[in-house]
Amino acid sequence: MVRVAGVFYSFIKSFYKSFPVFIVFGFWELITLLNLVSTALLPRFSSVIIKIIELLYSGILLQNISVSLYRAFSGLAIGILAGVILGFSMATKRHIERFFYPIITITFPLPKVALAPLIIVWLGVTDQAAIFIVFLGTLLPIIVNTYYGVLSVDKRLLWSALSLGTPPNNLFRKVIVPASLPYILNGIKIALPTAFIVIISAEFVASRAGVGYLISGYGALGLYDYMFAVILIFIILCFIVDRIVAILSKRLLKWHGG
Amino acid sequence: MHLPKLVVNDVSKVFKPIKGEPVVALDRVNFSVEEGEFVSIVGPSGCGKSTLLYIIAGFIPPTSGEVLIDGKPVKEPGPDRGIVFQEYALFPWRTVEGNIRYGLEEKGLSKEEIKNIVKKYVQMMRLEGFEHKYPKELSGGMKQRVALARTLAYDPDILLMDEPFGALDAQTREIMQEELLNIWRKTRKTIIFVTHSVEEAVYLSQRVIVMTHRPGRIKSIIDVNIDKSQSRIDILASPDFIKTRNLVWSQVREEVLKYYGAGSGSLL
Repeated sequence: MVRVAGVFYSFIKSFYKSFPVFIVFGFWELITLLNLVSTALLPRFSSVIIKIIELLYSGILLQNISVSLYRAFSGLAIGILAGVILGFSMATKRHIERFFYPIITITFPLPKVALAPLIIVWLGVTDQAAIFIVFLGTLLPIIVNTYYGVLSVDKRLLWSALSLGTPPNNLFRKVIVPASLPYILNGIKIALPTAFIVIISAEFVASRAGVGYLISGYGALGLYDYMFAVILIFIILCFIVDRIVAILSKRLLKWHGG
Repeated sequence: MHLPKLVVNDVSKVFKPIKGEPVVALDRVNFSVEEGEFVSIVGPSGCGKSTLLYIIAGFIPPTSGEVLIDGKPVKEPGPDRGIVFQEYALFPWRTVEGNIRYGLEEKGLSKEEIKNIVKKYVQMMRLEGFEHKYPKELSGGMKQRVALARTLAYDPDILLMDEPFGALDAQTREIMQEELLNIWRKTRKTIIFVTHSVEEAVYLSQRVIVMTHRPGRIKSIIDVNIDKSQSRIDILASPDFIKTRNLVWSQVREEVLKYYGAGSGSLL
């Protein structure tokens, strides 16, 4: 009984917290209903909802979403793997730091999507091209966060571990990795929305499937209610993924913070 | 032949910053410590007392001279020397229990042994009920008790303490001092205790080493002839305590005055 009440309470609470979103949707429906804005420019919210159901039912949406998610997560996964390894190496090996630091500093401000046309020329309109662009986009935040995470490890923690019998070769695993984990996860939190931004943009540039392909395709055909339907679903999806990552990292880092 | 537990032999340390003049932190420091002795090092800020402790611990090398433990030169941190820092340096991703058992795991003890030792130190440090808390959930005094438990559980011969109670409030600090003295009475560990509190040094230790302001040299070594088996109140009220404290304080005061006196004579 208490459990049911608790679930009910948290449901009410999350509804209450997301109330402003519903106001925006209501406002959207209202201005289109009253013809304050032409439905040729802004489709009605209710018709967008109908299109969402239609697209979900036909399978077009799920198919294209899974294509985009596959590309985004593959690129992100490779970016995390390479970024963590490179970040650790830079922070611990002088010559690696010397080599990569200036390269990263120079390329950091560059929006990696700018390279999309070039990479598509190299790799064609393929999954690999899209994954590679996501990889480039997510690599640097992971490297930089890992690098600074390792550099910020308190030397007294290392000294304590040495005094408690940890062989110097094991410091990395026993102290440096757990101590820099919050920074790495922070890098991943930054890289995740970047992966979504990059994959949609890359699909705008050139693709035969994916969420970006659907959005630009419906836009070009003037099917704005379908376009909005795809955008809305993608927003919800990004939100859910972001929440999942936030909850996971909170569980992993329950020891962290004030 | 008699062999002291620890010998600091002509140790000097010069820090060379990338820009600017080299800083002589320690200048030919010599002293020795007997097994089971409790020695404090006091001096004004910047006298190199922490640096000296880190050299003994093997964290940083001396520029010249050497530290001998049981006659063998120190080259690196070792399991014979345990360290307790002012800022606790607990592993934040490990619970209270996880921190205490860290060194025991590294020793490769059996689960049963680890469990028993952890239990013993949890009790000794009055940490019952907090075994599964993370350091961020603890007060400063409690964190320092965990740090002490972690080091004691590993059972090093020598305890090196770097202003361990410096970050605690006055009441907690007094309680921790009593607890440390109790532990020393029970275990008779060799303790080297760095502090800038003269009172703390005299209350706790058998000998007080006073250091000069930069460059850090030994100004004097003062014996504390007080029966440390007495209660805190008795120790603090004894004429010997007051006499010794005043003697140490006058020595430290000279150094502090030298430091501040350079700019303004009217400060003290």
